[in-house]
Amino acid sequence: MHIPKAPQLSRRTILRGLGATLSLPFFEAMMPTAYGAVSRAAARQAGPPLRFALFSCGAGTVHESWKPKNTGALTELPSILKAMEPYKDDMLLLSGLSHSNKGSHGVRHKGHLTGVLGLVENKPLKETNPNASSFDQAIAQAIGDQTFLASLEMGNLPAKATHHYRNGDEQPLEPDPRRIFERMFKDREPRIPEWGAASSSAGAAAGLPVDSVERSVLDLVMQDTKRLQAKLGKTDRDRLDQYLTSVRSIEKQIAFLEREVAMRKPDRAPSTALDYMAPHVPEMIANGTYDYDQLQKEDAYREVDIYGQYLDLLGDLMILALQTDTTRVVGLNHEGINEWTGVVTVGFERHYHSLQHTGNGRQSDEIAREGCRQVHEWFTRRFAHLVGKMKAIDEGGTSLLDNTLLMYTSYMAHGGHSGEDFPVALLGNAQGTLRPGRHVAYQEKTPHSNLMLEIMNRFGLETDEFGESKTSPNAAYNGRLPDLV
Amino acid sequence: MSYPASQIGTADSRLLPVAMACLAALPLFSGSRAFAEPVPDYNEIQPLVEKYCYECHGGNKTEAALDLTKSKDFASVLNDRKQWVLALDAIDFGEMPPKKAAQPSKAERAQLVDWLSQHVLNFDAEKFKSPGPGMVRRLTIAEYRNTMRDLMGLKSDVVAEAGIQPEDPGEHFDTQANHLSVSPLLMEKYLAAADAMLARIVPTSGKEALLDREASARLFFTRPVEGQNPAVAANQIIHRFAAWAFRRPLEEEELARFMQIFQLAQSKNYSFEESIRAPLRAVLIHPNFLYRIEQDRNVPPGQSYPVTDFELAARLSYFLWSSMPDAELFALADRGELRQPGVLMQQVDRMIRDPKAERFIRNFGGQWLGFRKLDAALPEQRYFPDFTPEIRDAMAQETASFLMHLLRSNGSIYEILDADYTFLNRQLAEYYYPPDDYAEPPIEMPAGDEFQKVSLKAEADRRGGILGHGSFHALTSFPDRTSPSERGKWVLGHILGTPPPPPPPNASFFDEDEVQQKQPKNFREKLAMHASEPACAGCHAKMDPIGFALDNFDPVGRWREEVSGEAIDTFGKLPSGETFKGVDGFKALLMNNREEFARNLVDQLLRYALGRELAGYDEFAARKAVKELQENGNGFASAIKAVVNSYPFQHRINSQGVGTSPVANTNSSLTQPAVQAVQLEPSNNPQQ
Repeated sequence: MHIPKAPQLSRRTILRGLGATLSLPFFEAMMPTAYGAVSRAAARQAGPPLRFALFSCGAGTVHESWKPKNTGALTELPSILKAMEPYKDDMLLLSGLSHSNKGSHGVRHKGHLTGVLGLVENKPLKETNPNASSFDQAIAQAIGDQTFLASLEMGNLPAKATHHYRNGDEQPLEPDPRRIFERMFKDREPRIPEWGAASSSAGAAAGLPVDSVERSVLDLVMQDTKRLQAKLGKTDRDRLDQYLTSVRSIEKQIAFLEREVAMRKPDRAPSTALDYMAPHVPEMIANGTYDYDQLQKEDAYREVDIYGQYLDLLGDLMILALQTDTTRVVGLNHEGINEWTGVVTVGFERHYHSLQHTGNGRQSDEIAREGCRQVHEWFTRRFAHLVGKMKAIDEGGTSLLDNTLLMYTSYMAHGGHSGEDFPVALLGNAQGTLRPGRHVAYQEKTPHSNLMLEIMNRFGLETDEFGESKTSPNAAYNGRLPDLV
Repeated sequence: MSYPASQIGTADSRLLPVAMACLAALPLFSGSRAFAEPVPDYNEIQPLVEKYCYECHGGNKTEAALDLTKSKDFASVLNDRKQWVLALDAIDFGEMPPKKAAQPSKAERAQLVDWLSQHVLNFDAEKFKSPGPGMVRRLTIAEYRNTMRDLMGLKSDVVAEAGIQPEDPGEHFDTQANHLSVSPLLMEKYLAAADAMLARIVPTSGKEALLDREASARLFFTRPVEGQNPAVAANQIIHRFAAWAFRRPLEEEELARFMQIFQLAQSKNYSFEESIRAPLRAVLIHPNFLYRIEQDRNVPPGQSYPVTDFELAARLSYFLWSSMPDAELFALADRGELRQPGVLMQQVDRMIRDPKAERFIRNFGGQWLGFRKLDAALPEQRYFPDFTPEIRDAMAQETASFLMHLLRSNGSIYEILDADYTFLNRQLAEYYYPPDDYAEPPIEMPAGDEFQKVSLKAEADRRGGILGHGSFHALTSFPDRTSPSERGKWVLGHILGTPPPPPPPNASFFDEDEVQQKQPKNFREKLAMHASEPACAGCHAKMDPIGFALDNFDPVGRWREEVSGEAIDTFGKLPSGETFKGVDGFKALLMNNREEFARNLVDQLLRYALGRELAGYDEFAARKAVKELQENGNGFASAIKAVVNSYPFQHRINSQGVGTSPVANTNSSLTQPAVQAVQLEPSNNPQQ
């Protein structure tokens, strides 16, 4: 199998002159975040780390075909979840989770991972909620320093929408599989770390040399920016803060690369006979035959098989990212395609948006409803493939699924943009912090923010409030969720 | 001192920014100057607003996305003037508060109406004018792509190579500053694009094949001389590149910092070219390049002043070319001649004639009239086999060519509403008028692939003006059918500047009983039922009649007399009582309201050029521009000149003085006001 070689690029060339092992001063420090400190001890444990992965689809679900009638142990799965039958024991189904935001129907879902209220059509989230982060980004901010990329957001939502926010700033999605791969491996090789070996973050030597030319470029622009900011009003300062944050993330990547390169010096003996393993790179990426632009041009995006292939490819890239520890926070965002011919076999309507609106809500057309159900079943089948692959990857005694908190959800509860009772399925046991194989039903309108808080806690963020967990008019369970484990 | 566009400065030239020379000419604001009348006191009506309006329009509940608690004083009221004018109408006509809510007494209602009429509707626009806050504004991706090309005259599109995708801004222009953000993902791509550009202009080992010799020659206009310190040549090269990139002269310290990187690289034995490359990389990811940043002055907060010539040149070039100024504009700015009598307008004329004006048509016209995203329009080829991607492109080209013609001939803007010609090529003409259906073509059929002006003759009633363009029809339809509501909404928003607010939160649902009682006879009735919910009817009553009048155009721009065997009923009646029939009838109505259209066009141009929404303090400038346009034959180019001559286009106030995002109401809905209003000061600028 062909593994693409990392090309000779300027970073490596520049590093030719550097001898000593490099380290990162910030690696050694506690990292305060807006949501509480992350315990250093948690970050240093031996064995594979805990990851977070999100698989988010459009248009909600069809509740009677998603939610089991009984709570407790999962026995009979409703039709949309049938594909998950082999993974019943790994699945924790949660119901009742809702969001109270009553913003106009087009925007209610914009902040669904942030739990914030007060969103307004045509206004960026930063204007109404300048400090809001989506919970995945809060996690990424806390643990992202330990990986090459703090997080990875991918998918192809229309209108370039994103649900990921960091301090009110949009984190856009990368839709093109080839570029996703390049982001991860332009200057590095895809390798699977040796989990269970002595901690690999042993590079605690001297600080980075200050005369690196590449560094000086970044230093200049950052210092000039600070000089500019000193003269500007608040809004403009904030805009340039976004810029600074973005440049700093580049700086971290370079530092990380330099460290990885130093770690792989030829004279350093590997700790076991097995050196770094090579993971599976999807064929079409490895041999460069996947052409995303072509997908757009020929309207192929309206073809279900081609879209399915795209979705699977993104899933593979997600697995690659997690396996190689390129990042520990991934978001896959799938809106769906415009026309579901081949999936929807009833009635005559195939257009997704029309189906959603006529097939959902109190007054819905039965045939359209069945069409929606077929679409959601299709999504779940794709998701089941992904779960199966993750379950089959051995990370030294535990599977990748065991070591990931994988969440299947949608940014709507149903196709009418509802915010009540989102479909939520958590896969894997999140390293023992979840007890799957059950359906847990929370009381009506329990804030979805409670779940996001619980997940954040499992990644070491010591905070007791998130989104509307305490401020929702429907606040419940003291802002938490009992019975998850 | 000379800006390094024409002359090469020496290593010890003083690099005073031109802006400082301008400062001496401005009088300082004298704080003791008093208003003729005091600033109106919003507290005179605030208690009434709280009592009768806050329940639905304040804080927790915000019907129609209107939050009146954001208005706290006259300044913030003025910030949201448009929404308050609508509120005035609603209160005056008894629409608000709604019948079932508590009603103000006659005296109270009169008090509200009087205050709002006097101080908001009929306010002294000139007294309360402001150019709005200067804002740091990231280049849009379209502007960035053009700038990266124009900077060194590259042949390749390095921005596309780096995978940078244009924004998809939705209902507002992509130039709007508060929607332009940067993320780590985008920064990675900026670096990739910078590296791709540098590979074209700096010989790099391993990438020699990429070198664009012409562009490289522009960069290396000088070389180190034998025996001379290479820093001398480096200084000149970097200075010129950075000044062009930053669109202004550099300060000495700025250049010195870039030279430090050069020296660092030299000390590491990098070649001359590699040593140049590093500081250029810093320039290409620098905020002064990626953002448009204008200089504050040492004046009191809120006091306006003219922008520098360099800043004006950049405002002009990004407005008309979506890119950086060219050598001629830089030279005029450098000599301080840009504002001399006649010069500025001469430049506008030149820029309109330049091929780069295509970008204005595409970016302004294409967003305003929507044809920039025609490839995402919903109608499916599955249902309309003739509606191929080539036809989509052709339709976009029809509207683009039409606008370009108006621009370059300074044709009347009202031809956008109604014209007796359009622009077609053979393919599109035969699409609209298939030879099989038309034994004798009803219009002048063009010969080839080129788009040309085509007389519509008798078809002018139908196809003349934007309402007859296929681009409009496709943009306002669903995959398999027209959407009268979408068409009506489009006309209200894009043509008249009065878009309906977004649908209410429960827009999907309607009463089961109602549905079961009546069986709709046709699509029109079905839609009417659909829109009979009280929460929906108000807006649909304004939108749907327009759409039905235009329903002879199918989803993909062809004329039809019937749908599903039934003749189309194109009669429409608006809530105002006005009636019309068919597209020609509706066009006549539009022409009777042409003032609204002219004002809307000016508003759109201002929003696009200024990169923000408009507020009460822009009212003066907008009205003035409309007058100027009307006094100059209503020409499209005249409209643009009026905007270039306008107060906010040529002035700014300090970023520091007022702080935050300037405006409240967007053009698209009654939305929440900004966090802080612009601080109001009387204008004492002698130049305006």
